[in-house]
Amino acid sequence: MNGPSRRWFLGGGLLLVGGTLVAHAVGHRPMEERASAFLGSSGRTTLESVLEALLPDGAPVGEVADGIEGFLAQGDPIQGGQLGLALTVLEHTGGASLWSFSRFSRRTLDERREILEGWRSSSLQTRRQIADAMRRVALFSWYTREQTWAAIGYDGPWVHP
Amino acid sequence: MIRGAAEVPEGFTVRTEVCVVGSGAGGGVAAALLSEGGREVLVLEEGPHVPRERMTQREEQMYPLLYRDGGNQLTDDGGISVLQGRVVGGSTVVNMADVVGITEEVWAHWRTLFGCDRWSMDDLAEAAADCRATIGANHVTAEQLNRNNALLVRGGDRLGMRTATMEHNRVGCVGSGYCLIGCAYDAKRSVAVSWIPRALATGRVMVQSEARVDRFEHDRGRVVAVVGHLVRPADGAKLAPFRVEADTFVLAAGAIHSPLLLKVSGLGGAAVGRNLSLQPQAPVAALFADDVVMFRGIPQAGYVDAETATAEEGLGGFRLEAVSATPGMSAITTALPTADLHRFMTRYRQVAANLCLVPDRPGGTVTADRNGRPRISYALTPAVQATMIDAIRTAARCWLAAGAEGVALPFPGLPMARSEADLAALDRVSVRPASTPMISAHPQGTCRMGPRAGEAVVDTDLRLHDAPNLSVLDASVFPTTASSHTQLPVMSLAWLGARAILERPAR
Ligand SMILES: Cc1cc2nc3c(=O)[nH]c(=O)nc-3n(C[C@H](O)[C@H](O)[C@H](O)COP(=O)(O)OP(=O)(O)OC[C@H]3O[C@@H](n4cnc5c(N)ncnc54)[C@H](O)[C@@H]3O)c2cc1C
Ligand code: SF4
Repeated sequence: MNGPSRRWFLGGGLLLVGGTLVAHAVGHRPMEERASAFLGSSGRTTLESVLEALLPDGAPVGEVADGIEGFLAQGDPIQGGQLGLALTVLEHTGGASLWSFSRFSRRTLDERREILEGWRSSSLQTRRQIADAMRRVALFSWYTREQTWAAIGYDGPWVHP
Repeated sequence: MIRGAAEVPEGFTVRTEVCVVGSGAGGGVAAALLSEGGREVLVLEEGPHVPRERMTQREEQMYPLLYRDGGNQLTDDGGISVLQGRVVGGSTVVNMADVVGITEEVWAHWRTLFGCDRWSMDDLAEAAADCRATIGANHVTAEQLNRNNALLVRGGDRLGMRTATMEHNRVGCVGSGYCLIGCAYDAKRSVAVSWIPRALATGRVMVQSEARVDRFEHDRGRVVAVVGHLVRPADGAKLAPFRVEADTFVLAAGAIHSPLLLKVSGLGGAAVGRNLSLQPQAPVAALFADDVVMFRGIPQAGYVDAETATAEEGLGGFRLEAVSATPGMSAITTALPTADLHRFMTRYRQVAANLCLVPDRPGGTVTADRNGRPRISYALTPAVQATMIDAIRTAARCWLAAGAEGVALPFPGLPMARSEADLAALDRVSVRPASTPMISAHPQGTCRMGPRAGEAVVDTDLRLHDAPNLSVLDASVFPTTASSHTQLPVMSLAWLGARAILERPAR
C-alpha cells in the first residue's frame, strides 16, 4: 500500500484537532480503550470499531480482534505496520466531515458503516485502499472462523490433521 | 535431498556447477533437465518445503504458509492482488492446475515482432510434450464438471458462445476443491511432486529451502556467486547468511522477484523490470435457488472462450472460467455492500462463481522500494478496462441464462443484477484500483527475451545479455502474454533454455 502523502497527513492532523474538540462538545463517549500487544490501545480500539461496523450484528468483535492481533504479531512486521498506519489514518480522518469532527471510533455504528461503505467508492485512492484493507481483514477473519461455517453451510476441511 | 534452514543453522558457503534460484515452474524444470544432463545442481528456494501432510485446507493457515506475503502482494495502487506461491514448487503448488500451451499464433507473434526465432514450433512441441508427460496432463471430461462449472458452460452454450472443458494436471483428484491452498492428496501434479522428484532421482540435486537470495555478485560479464540468507518462513526474519559460487546460474524467481534480483545486482540492463503483464482477473458471483456447492469438485474445469489469437496482435479478448472459493476468499472478492454480502454468504452453498480473465499488453513495471521489496506499478489501459467490463457483462449474462436469480458484480455500490436490464448499470462504471476486486495469477514479461540488449533482458537462448552464464528461465521472459495459463508455457521455455545450457561446455 502506498503511504499517504505528508500533505494528506497534515490535512488529517488538522481535522483531528477539530474533531477532538467537537467530540467533547457533543459529548460522544469514546469506545473503551483495550490493552493490545501489537496495535497499541488506540489501534485496537479503531480495529474493534471497524469490526463492529463490518461484521454481522452481535459478532464477537473482541475475539475476532484478538485473532487478528495474534496473526499480526507472528507475521511480517511490515504488513502489520501498514495495517496499523491504515487504522491510524481512518481513526483520525474517517470521522471528519464538513459539518462535524470526531474520531472514527466515536462515531455511531450506522455512521461508521456509512463511512466505510462510502470510502469504497471514494474518488481518493488512499480512502479506497484503506476501506479495502479493512474489509479484507474483517471479512477474511470472520469467514475463516469455524464458528461461522454452520450458518453459511460450509462443511469445512476434509482433512483433519 | 530437500533441506530447510534448521538443518544448516550456521549458514553455508559452497561451490557447485549450477545454482538455480527458485523452485517453481521454471526452476523445477531447469533442475531436472540440467541434472539429467550430468550437471550438479543446487536449488535455492525462499519458501518452505510443505509436503501434503501439512496441507490443512484452512485458508488462514495456508495463505500465509504457501503464498508470497500471505497472498497480500498488491500493486502499488492497491488495485490488483498479485498472487504467487512462495514454497518448494513455487506457484504450481497453489495454482488451479489448468494446462494451456503457447499457440502457433503467439509463437509467430514473438518470432516476427520480437525476433525470438531461436526455436521452431516443433521444438516448442517437443518441450511441451515432455512437460505434459511429467505433470500428468489430461483432459477433464464433461461428466467430471461440478455444478458450478456445468452451469457456466450451460449459460455460455445458451448464449451461443464457445465453451469447453480444460486440460489439467490432476491425477486421481478426489474433488476436495482446495487447489488454491495446496493439494493434500498430491493429486495436483505440481512441480513439488513431479519435476522436483524427477530432479532428485538423478542424485545430483540438492534443494535448499528457506533460503532467500539477496543478490548476484558479478565480475566482467560473468556472474560468480549468489549471496543471501536463510529465513524463518513465518515472518521472513533473517537467519544465517549463505554464499554459493557456480559456473552457471539459473534465475527462476518468477516475474516479480527475478527482475528485482537483477536490478539490485546491477544486472539486466535498461529493460529489466519493464513490460510487466498481469493478465488481470475479476470475479463475478451468482446466486441460484438451489445448491451449487462450488467449493467442492474440480474447481476450474470448464470455460467460456472469447479469446482471440493472431500473429499480428498476440492474445486478446477474454475467457470466463468457473472457479471455486473458500469462505474467506469468497467474502473478500464479492463487492456487494457489506450488509448484503452477509446475507449473500448465508446462501454460500447456492453461490456460483467465475473469474473474467483478460490478456493485457505489457506496460507495468517492477522496481525496488526502500525496503528492497518489489514495487509493482501497473495501470489498466482503457482498452483492457473496456474488455474487462465486457467480460463481466458476458459472465453475468451467462449466469442469468443458466438460471441464476441474481449476479453480484465486482463494483461497490451496485446491487445484485436480477435481469439483463439491470446490466445497464455496467455502462456507468469504471474499473478503479482498490474498488473492483482483482487478482493476477499470471504476472509475466519483466525480463523480456529478444535479440537486442537494451530492448530485451535475455537473448533468444534466454541468457542474460550482459552476463551470459546466467539464464532466466521463468515467466518473466515472455515478450507478451504467453497464454491464458502460464505454467506450461513457463515449463516449455525453461525446458528449451535448459537444453541450450547443456549444449554449451560446463565452464
Ligand atoms: C493462484 C494461482 C493460480 C494459478 N493457476 C494456474 C493455472 O490454473 N494454470 C496455469 O497454467 N498457471 C496457473 N498459475 C500460474 C503458474 O503457476 C505460474 O505462471 C508459474 O508457476 C510461474 O512459474 P515461475 O517459475 O515463473 O514462478 P513460480 O512458480 O512462482 O516460482 C518462483 C519461485 O521462486 C521463489 N523465489 C522468489 N524470489 C526468491 C529469492 N529471492 N530467493 C529464493 N527463491 C525465490 C519463490 O518463492 C517461488 O517458489 C497460477 C498461479 C497462481 C498464483
Ligand atoms: S480438487 Fe483435486 S487437485 Fe484440487 S486440491 Fe482437491 S484433490 Fe487436489
